[in-house]
Amino acid sequence: MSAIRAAVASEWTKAWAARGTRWAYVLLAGLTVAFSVFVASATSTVGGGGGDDDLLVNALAGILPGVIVAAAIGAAAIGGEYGSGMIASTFAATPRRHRVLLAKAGVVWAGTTAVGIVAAYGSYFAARPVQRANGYVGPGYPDPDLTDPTIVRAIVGTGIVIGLVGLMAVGVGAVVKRTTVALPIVLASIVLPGMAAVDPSAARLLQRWSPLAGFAIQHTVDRPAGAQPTTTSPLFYGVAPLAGLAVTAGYAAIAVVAGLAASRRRDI
Amino acid sequence: MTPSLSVEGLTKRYGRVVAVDDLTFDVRPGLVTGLVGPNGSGKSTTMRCALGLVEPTAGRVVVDGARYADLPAPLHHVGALLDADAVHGGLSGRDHLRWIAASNRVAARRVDELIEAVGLAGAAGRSTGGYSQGMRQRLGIAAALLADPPILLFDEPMNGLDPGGMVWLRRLLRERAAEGRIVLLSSHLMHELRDVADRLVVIHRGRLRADATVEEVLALDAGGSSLESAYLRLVSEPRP
Repeated sequence: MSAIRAAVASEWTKAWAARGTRWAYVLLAGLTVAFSVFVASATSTVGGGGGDDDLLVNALAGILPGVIVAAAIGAAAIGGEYGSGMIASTFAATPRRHRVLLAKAGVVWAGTTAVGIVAAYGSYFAARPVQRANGYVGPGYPDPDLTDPTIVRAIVGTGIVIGLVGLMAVGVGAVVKRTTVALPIVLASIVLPGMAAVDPSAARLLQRWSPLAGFAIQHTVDRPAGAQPTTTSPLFYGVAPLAGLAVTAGYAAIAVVAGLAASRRRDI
Repeated sequence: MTPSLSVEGLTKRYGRVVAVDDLTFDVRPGLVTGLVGPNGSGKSTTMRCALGLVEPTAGRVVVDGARYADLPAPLHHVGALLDADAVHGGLSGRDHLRWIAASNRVAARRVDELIEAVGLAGAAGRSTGGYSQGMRQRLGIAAALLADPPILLFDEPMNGLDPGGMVWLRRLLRERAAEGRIVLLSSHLMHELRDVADRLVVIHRGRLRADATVEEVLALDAGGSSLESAYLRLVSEPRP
C-alpha cells in the first residue's frame, strides 16, 4: 500500500510540475464552458417547437471539447515519457510497472474528472442565461432544479465521462507508446460513432456500444429508445443514461488492463 | 552491508541479433570498474538488464542478492545514469529530481543538496529542454546519487562533459569507490577510463574478452604501455 502511495506521489509531482499539463487543464475547463455557451447561443425556440428539448444536453455540449482535451492529457501523460525516453528512469525507479501505470492513470483520472465536473457546472451556469435569452423560459422550459437527481446526474456525469476518456487515453497510450497514435484512436472511437448518421439503425448501434455511449448520461428528458436526434440533442436516445456511462467505463477499464499487460515485460 | 553486483550467464537476443552472449562477471566494491567495448558491443543492454528495463533471454543480473525488480526501493541500492537526454523537456531540473525522490521516499532536502553538489544551482528552476548536453549529464548524475546508493552504474557518463566536468566526475567516482561502493561505468573510449578505472571488463559482440586490472590489460600489449592498443587487440582478435 505504501509502495503504491510513493508511485502516486511521484506521478502527481510529475503531472503538475509540467507547464504543459497545467495549461491543458485550463484548456479543458475553458473550452468546455466556451463550447457550451456557443452551442446554447446557436439554439433557439424560434422555428423549433418540439417542446421536449433537452436543456441539459444543450447546456453541456462542451463535453465534446472536454473529452478531446482529456484524451490529450491522458495520452501525453504516458506518450510523453516514451517519446522523451524518461520512461526508463520511471521504470528504474519503480520496477513494478503496474504501480507506475495505475498511479499515472489515477492522477489523470482524478485531475480530468475533478476539472471536468467543475467545467460542467461552469457550462451550465454560463449557458443557462443564454438559453433563457433565446426563449427557453417557463412555463414550457422552467429552470431545471439543481437538486433533482436527474439534473445532478447529467452535470456531474459529464465530468465523469470526461475523466473516463482521460483514463482510457492513458491505457491506450501505454499500449501504443506514442501520443500521436493514441490520441487519434481515442478520439475516433468517440467522434466517429456520432457522425455515422448514414443509416439510423447502424448509428444507434454504434452510439450504444462505442465509448460515445457515456454521453447519454446527459439525457434528462424521457424519450422512447431510439428517438431521433433533435436540435438540442444531436444523438439518438438509444441507451439509458447509466447504461451508457457503464459502456464508456468498460472501455476505459479494458484500455487500462491492456496497458498494464503491454507494459509488463516490454524492453525499454 | 557490502554491495554486490553479479552478471550471471546473461544473454539477450533481439530477434536474430545477439546483443549479449552468455556474459558473466562480478563487479567488486571499492574499485572503479570500466565496462568497455566498441559501439554495439552490449554495454548498454547489460546495464539495462541490470536495471530490470530489459528482460534477459537467459541468465540474470543479481544486485545486492536480488533481482533489481524485486528490490522494494531500488534507488537506495543502485543509482544509474543511462541516457541523460531522456528527460521530459517540460520539467525543471528540480522537478525532475523531485519526482524521482518521491518514487523511492528520498528526503526532499536531498534534491537541493544534489543540485548544489553537481553545480546546477543556477539552472534548477529552468526547463530541462533548454539545458546543454553537459547540464543534462550533471542532472542525470544528480538523479543517480539522489538516494546515496552503494552501487553506481553510469553508461557513457563523460558524453558532453567539458574537461572541467570530466575531472570533477572522475574525482567523484573515485571518492565513491574509496567509500567501498561499487562503481561501474561504461565507455567506448579507452582513454576516458585510463585515469579513473582500477579494473576493466572488456566486451566485444556481447562476449567477455577481459576481466582484469588495468595493469593486466596493459600487459597484453607488446610494449606494455598503451591501453588503447591493448584494447584494440582484445576487440579485434578472434576469440581464442
